[in-house]
Amino acid sequence: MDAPLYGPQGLVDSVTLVLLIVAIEQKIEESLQVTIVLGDYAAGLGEYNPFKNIKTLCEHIAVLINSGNYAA
Amino acid sequence: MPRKLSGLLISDFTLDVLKSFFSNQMDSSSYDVRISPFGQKINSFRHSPHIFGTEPLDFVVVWNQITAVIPSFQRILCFEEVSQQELLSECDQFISAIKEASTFSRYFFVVNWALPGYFRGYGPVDLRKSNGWQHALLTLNKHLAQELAHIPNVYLLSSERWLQIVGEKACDPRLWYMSKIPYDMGVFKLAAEDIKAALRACLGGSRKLVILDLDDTLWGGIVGDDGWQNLRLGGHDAQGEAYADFQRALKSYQKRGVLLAIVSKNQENIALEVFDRHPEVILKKSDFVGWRINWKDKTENITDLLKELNLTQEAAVYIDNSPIERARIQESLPGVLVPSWTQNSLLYTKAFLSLSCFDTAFVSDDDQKRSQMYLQEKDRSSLRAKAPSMDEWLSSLNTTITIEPLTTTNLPRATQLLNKTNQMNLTTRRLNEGEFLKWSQDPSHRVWIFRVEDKMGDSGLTGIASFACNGQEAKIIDFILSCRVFGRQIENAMMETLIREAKKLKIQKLTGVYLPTEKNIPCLEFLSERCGSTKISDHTFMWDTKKDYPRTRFITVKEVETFNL
Repeated sequence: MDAPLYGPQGLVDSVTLVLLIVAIEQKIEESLQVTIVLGDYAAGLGEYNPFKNIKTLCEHIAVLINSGNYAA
Repeated sequence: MPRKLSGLLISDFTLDVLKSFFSNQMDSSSYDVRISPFGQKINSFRHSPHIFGTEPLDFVVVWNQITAVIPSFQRILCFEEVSQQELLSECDQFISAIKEASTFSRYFFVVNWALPGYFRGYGPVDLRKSNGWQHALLTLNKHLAQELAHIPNVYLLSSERWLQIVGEKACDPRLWYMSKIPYDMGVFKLAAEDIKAALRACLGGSRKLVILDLDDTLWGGIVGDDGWQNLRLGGHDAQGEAYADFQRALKSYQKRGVLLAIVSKNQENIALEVFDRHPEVILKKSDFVGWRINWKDKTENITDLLKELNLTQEAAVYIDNSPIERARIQESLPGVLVPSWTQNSLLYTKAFLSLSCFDTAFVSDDDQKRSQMYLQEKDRSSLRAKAPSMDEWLSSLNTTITIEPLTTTNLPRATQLLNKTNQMNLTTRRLNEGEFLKWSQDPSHRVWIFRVEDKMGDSGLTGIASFACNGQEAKIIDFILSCRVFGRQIENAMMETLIREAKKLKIQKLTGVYLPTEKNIPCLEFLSERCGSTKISDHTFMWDTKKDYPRTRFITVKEVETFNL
């Protein structure tokens, strides 16, 4: 869960990250019928990097879903 | 280890995902693939020919979005009027660039155009109006297909099929906006599979034979227990209809040159009764080039059948509903392709039609007659079994060989033979039509094409021999004979032709260097034992044209006059 995903020493490159983001967004749409936007965070990664590792990504997705910050 | 196939992917969008599918370690071939600089349109390659590099390429894939290479299509998408002439003229520029660029690679694959499923255009009148999105797309794709069909080493691949299989997710705009990737990973996976299958076909790796189990594979039920009357085959029954459709699909493939055979654990007379008596059976006994229906181990039966048909494991596909039998064959005969097979017979036809192993790079008249030719071969073998001696059998066949030069007419079939033949093949060199023609036109090179016919039937164009002259010596470059006809002294007649032609050219010494592969041992056996050669080293053989070699009896040789290519 803590293995680096994207960023310095990350396991995935930018193209793979985009594929991953879209796959996650699609899966959540299918399973929960909600649309979240993960992609925005990929464009300008500042101090907060939800794609740092699997753990931060899961936490970030949970926050997006629980905050209701999505298009139903 | 076979060398890697070198490829170049040219596109105006991000193709990293497609490239990643060429680095799969599980592939039987390995690839060295690179991507052209981002945003590359084939139309503009003339300004940057360096993209092809200096090393010869085995294949190029051109995958350009329609709006990138047909600018007026963008206007069509904006519902503006565009004349048909303007559209086709832009398409012609694209085609002309492909024609020119195709010389940089042995095989050239162009992906046709498709629109995302959510592009509705005019709706119900979209296909009625010439400026309808789908109408214009169909027009352009048809024009592209017609024009590219004239370039022998260019193959058009269908992207619609990939998009259709992947479905709604095929074109996700999110991928485009974030990474300039127009398609889902599934689309690229299918594209890579099709490109690999096409390369396999071009390089002679297409499968030729389907070996089938019977019970619960060709029909529902166990014929030995249920009797032919109670099998599920045809009729008003979902299972029965599906089995009949599967047989129809097999029969249609047989018509395009794929051979059918049976290996089944059954009692032969009871199993064969189905083909004679069942009112809804589609396949007949005469559709199968051979069968082994008995209680022996299937590995032994398949090996025996392949030997009878003069085919290698790599030519065969084995279809059986039993996972245990499949695993056994997969393990004992690793060259045979054993596709994983669904347990649901309603999906058999889909599973069969989805196999890419029969993809072919060329269709000839001979392909369509192949099954018939194998049946003729069976008749020859039974005649052989009855004949008192080999000589009497050969004499009874009344074989005629027609020798002709390589021409533009026989070039496609000759190239197909050159690229498909594995066993009786001296050097196993693979060339596309353009390369073969160019090679044959060198003044120091000579090529002969052989057609074989006997009283059982016409075996068609089945042999190629060539040599390269160097002063008073010549080196055999190709010595190729279809597995359907070798063993009938045709190969001896071919060798005689080479020696005779060498003499005519005042060549004193003819040599042949055997290049070993996993499959061409029959060629080495012929060179070592049956053609009067002098062995210079393990793999080098020599013929002194001043010497008299024993003439082939029983074969009439006809020569077609040389004419210009």
